Amino acid sequence: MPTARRLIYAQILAALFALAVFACARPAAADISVSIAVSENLVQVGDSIEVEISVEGGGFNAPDPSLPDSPYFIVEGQSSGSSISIINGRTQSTKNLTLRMRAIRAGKAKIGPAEVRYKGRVYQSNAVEVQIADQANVAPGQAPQTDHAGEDVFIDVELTADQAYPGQEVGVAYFLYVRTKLQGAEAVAQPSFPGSIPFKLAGGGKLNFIETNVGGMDYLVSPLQRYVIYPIAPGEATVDEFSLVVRVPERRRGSRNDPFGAFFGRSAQKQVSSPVKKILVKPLPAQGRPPNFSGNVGVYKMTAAIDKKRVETGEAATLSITVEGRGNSEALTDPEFSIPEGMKGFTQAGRDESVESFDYRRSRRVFESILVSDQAGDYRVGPFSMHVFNPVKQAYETISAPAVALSVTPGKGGDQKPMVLSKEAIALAGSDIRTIKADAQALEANGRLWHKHPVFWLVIFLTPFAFIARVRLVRRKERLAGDEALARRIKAGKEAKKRLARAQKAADSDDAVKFGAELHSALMGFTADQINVEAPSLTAQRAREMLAERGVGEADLDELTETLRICDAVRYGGHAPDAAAKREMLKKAAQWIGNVQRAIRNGSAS
Amino acid sequence: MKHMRTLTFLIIAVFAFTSFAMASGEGAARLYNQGNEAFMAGDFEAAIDSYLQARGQGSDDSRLLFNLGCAYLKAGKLGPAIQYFESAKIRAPRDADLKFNLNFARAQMLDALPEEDPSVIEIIGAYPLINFTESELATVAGVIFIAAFFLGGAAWPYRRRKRGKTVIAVGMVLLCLSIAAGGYAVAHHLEFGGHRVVVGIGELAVKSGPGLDNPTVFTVHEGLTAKVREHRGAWSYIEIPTGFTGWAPNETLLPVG
Repeated sequence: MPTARRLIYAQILAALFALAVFACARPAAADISVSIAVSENLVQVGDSIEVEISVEGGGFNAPDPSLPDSPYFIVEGQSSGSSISIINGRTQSTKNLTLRMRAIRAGKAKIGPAEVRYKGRVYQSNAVEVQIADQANVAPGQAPQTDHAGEDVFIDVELTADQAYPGQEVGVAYFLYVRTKLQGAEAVAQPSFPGSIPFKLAGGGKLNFIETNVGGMDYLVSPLQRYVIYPIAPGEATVDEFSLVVRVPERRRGSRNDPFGAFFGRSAQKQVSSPVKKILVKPLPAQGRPPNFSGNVGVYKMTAAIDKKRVETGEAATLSITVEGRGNSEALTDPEFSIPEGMKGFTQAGRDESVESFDYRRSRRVFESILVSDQAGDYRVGPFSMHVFNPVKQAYETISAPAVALSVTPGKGGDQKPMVLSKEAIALAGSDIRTIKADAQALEANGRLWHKHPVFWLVIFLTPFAFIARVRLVRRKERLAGDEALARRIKAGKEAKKRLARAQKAADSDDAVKFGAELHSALMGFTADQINVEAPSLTAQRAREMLAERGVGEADLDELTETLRICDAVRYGGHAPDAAAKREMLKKAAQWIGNVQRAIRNGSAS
Repeated sequence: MKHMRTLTFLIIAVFAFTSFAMASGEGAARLYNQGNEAFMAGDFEAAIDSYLQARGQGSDDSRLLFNLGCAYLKAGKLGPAIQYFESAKIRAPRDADLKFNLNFARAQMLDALPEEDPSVIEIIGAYPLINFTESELATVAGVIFIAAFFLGGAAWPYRRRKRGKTVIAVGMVLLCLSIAAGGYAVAHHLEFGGHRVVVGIGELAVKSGPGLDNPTVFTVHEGLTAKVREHRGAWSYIEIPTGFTGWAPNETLLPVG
């Protein structure tokens, strides 16, 4: 073959190959579609809506969609989920992003288009319009009833929708509006919801007021209780009244703006009730209804998981299929899935794990099946699917979860190990808490704790002080043990008091001689202790001289000389002073001792 | 004579107080036993009612709190169950049954707690906090503190002798130990004493500020334990184990203590 012809054939083949690649690539890229749906098209400022962006196609690598910012909304939260299923060899994937957005200003808001970038191309969704009404200018049934404007106290009810499908979630919120001093409130009638299945949301019971404006008047508003309800059948569902008995200050005629009325007036009780509201329940559309549709309604996603990837023959594994989202999950029917040949499945009743928050309910139902096989092999259980009517999209859809793998290996008894577990036995194989504590004769009282007792802290507080006192005492003892003069001087006052007490006793017994001797001993003993000499060797003259050396004043020295002279006269001269004179002498002696102590202390200090 | 009167008065007062305390303790025990009976009969709501009445009689016995947690768990109320198990754990931290049931209850929570491998130092450091009560730590600290000063005071006259020096050194070591035990008691109080709450509703959207109009910053579920950093009116500023913080209405939180 000539070289030129060979070159032409090669170019044609290359072109055909490129065409084939292009043809294959385009449908794959074109498989992606993006859509956007909102839970409500008419809201008021402060309300929240759910925006669901769905990306279909793209397989495992489906990109995340993005939504342009809107000046009318703030995003409060988001959740995402994805599902991939293979039906008749064709892969279908869906990725959902659900945004919870709160309206912050009135107007005509446009949400979207959402964008997805995939393999260099940009895919856009549709855009949806949402009408946001101002609080003072909202559609009936969506705002505080202006009929009440002017009333001191009223209850209003707000619904997230006034039309719904059977099984669609509708939020109901009761609010208490007050523009007076509320002295008490007590619920007298909890609302009922004929034609619907209600769920009371958490919270309620405590009033938490914020300021608001209704019909140009300032009010305080507090949520009373929130519910979500699910209409049962087409027709009409009723949201009954919520009644409270409130106690408010009684207003006298003409004292409407009297601020003191609330303080000095009497209180009055009155019953306030919310208006009764109706919800139009539309039948589910017939168009697009799957033949085996079992009535599931809501916005759900499905996941499946198995607790063990590998088991032995005869060993049980637990398959959990979880359906969660918004809707009455308690009414969900079992999901559809097939169990492979050689494996047995024991399906248990679905377990509802819905949780109620204070302003929404997250529905969740778990369907569990126990899987046991007596033949080794690699099994795939599923895929799992469920038909639901999505009230947000107003269309039927199939939610699904991919199949799960379970590998069964031969057990100790080989492949043909008999299956001994019954459904009941498997059901009993669960774990439980440890049981309660036994009966008691007595229980501990509140707060009987050592460390909280004041005595404990008093002892702790005093311990360092006791230690310091002990150290000082020991040191003082040690000082006194090494300085006899100091020890005598410190004890001098106490010894003198003892001697004066003996003199007093002698005076009381009218023993003049003994009185004189004791008083003399008290003064001379005190002086001997102060100057550290032996008392018997001390004369009055020497005592005077030594005290003078230590700074005792002349008057005190004269006093000593005079008192000693009188004592000698009493002891040896037969002089007998009367009782008053003795008292005077004792008083002067005590005074003298104090003066001398001070004088010597001051002299030592200087 | 005067001393005799005072002594008689004191004896009567102590006797009367003890009798009253025993009587109220016995009343709580009667309700507690009634609750046990209802629990064993499978009537968990009645058991909860009796246990709560026993609580109302002024008892915070760890057995009562434990059984209350069990009854709530059996009744399908995860939040109060974890609240009472946590409260019991403060009083009986070494109870193996309590640890088991608390872990069992936590396993039912939707929120996964952060799991980190603690270092050896962290394990040793946290051991007293996990295994002892605040009261035990404080009492041990107090007794060692008193013993330290007592030894020091007793040995002070002999401080220049070898034996005296040894006793004083032992006293100083005891003083250091008492400070450490006291530190642990304070840490225990800060960690577990009255600042913790359990999420009491199915799902709680935690807000960025104290009001429903504020954006949701994260969502937690029933049974999660959080620390309260601040109270403002009907709202509390909480911190969850991941370190996230936000505001939640008081009515959605169950206090531990």
